[in-house]
Amino acid sequence: MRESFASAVAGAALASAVLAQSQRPDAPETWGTATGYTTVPAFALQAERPEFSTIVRDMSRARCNENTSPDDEVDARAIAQLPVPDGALLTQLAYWAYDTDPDLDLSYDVYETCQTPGGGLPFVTPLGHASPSFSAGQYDGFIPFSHLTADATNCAYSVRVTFAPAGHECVAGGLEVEKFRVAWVRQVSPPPANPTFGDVPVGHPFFQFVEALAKSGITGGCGNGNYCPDAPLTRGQMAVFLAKALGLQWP
Amino acid sequence: MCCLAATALSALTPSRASLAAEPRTYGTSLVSYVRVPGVAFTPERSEYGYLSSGYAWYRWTDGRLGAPIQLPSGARVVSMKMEFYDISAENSLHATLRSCVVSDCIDHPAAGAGPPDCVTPGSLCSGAAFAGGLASETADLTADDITVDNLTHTYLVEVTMSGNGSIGSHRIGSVVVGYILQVSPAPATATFGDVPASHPFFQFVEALAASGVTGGCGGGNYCPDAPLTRGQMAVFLAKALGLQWP
Repeated sequence: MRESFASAVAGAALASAVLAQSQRPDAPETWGTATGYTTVPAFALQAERPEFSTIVRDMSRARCNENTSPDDEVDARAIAQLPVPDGALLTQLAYWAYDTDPDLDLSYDVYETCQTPGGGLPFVTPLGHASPSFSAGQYDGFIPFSHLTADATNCAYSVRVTFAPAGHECVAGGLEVEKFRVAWVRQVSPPPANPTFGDVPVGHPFFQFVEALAKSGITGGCGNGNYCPDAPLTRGQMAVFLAKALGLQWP
Repeated sequence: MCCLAATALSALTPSRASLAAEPRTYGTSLVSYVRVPGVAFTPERSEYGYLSSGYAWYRWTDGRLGAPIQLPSGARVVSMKMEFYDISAENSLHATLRSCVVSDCIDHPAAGAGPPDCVTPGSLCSGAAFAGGLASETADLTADDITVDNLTHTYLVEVTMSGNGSIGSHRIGSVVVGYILQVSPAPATATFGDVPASHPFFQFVEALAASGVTGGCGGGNYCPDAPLTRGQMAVFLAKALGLQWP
């Protein structure tokens, strides 16, 4: 039996973040380590095998119009990229769809595609799957991820929708996808094994964060291999930190 | 050799003039831009349009091309610009930024009814038409004040053509959406005892707290007047940016 999106996540840590934000819908966070979102309209879906299956989109939904493979022997599928911030902890992919077909259900698969060291075929990892049984119209759901940190430098993320498995013709109008939303949380990298600065050793309470600034090129320390973590910050130093951190540009 | 080195260096440090074309992503006073190239547009139905090297074009009238667009949460959309080519006096192109409301589909499941139209047509940015040009044209579209909300909306750019086009008569170079980052309005109740709603920095301290950048200085306070050490600054910045490295 399928639960609603809201009740299914009730009690989870994520639920409070989602609900709290929806109470301030005009104020979602852009930065920081609170929950952020990437939304993808169904218009982003492209046919996996365009020579066999036609995906028709309008501004609010996508559906499979026909499967022209012999005896419908090819799965009718569509794929969309999921842009996510590098290093963010991905927590779930939510989907919204429409299904009035008693015989067929949409199914969703999320993939991570990474470069293979030394070349060769891209390395594809399945991250999650859902095939909710539904036939009463509008529905929504989500695929949870477990401890998944996005590596946007080396990998791409995508969702694949199966409109009709092999042996079935597409159902025009009965199965439609509307949109996706990836929830994520920005993270600070775990600290390295060796410290960069002499006065911020491994055991220092700010070690992880000072190393993050150093690795990112935001600070080079205060000279002589030190960072001077206890020195007061002047407004002038603050300006340098912020301008470098944000890579500020102007015309 | 000296000149090669100089050339390489100048490529890394562009002049102020060349910076004008660069996107500006941060701050709350300058307009930043997301450029959606023509090749990112795909037609609703494949027979409605073509992709070419560098742009998209229309084949038939009344077709729609669309492209998803990613905008920063909390940004205020202030402008749209369409860079296009139009050699037809009879018809025109329209660019519109569409938002699809996610929460409608959560809160109002329409079991048994037809799928609700989650799009709110024209509510984000007004469309504008251009026609009769003999060469490429650029025109600004004025957007309504819209704050991007990636929790409850999806966004895409739609380009439609009215009238009867001929093959290649209308070509889309890019659609450029301009936005300005904002700091959230202050909440009704204060998070920290020493930064009440009347405090001049209330809005900004609350923004940091809601974003998970700070948890205060303990005891339910933020200590807004305490001096900041370089070490504390590192924690603020690393959390704020979610700094990552390989």
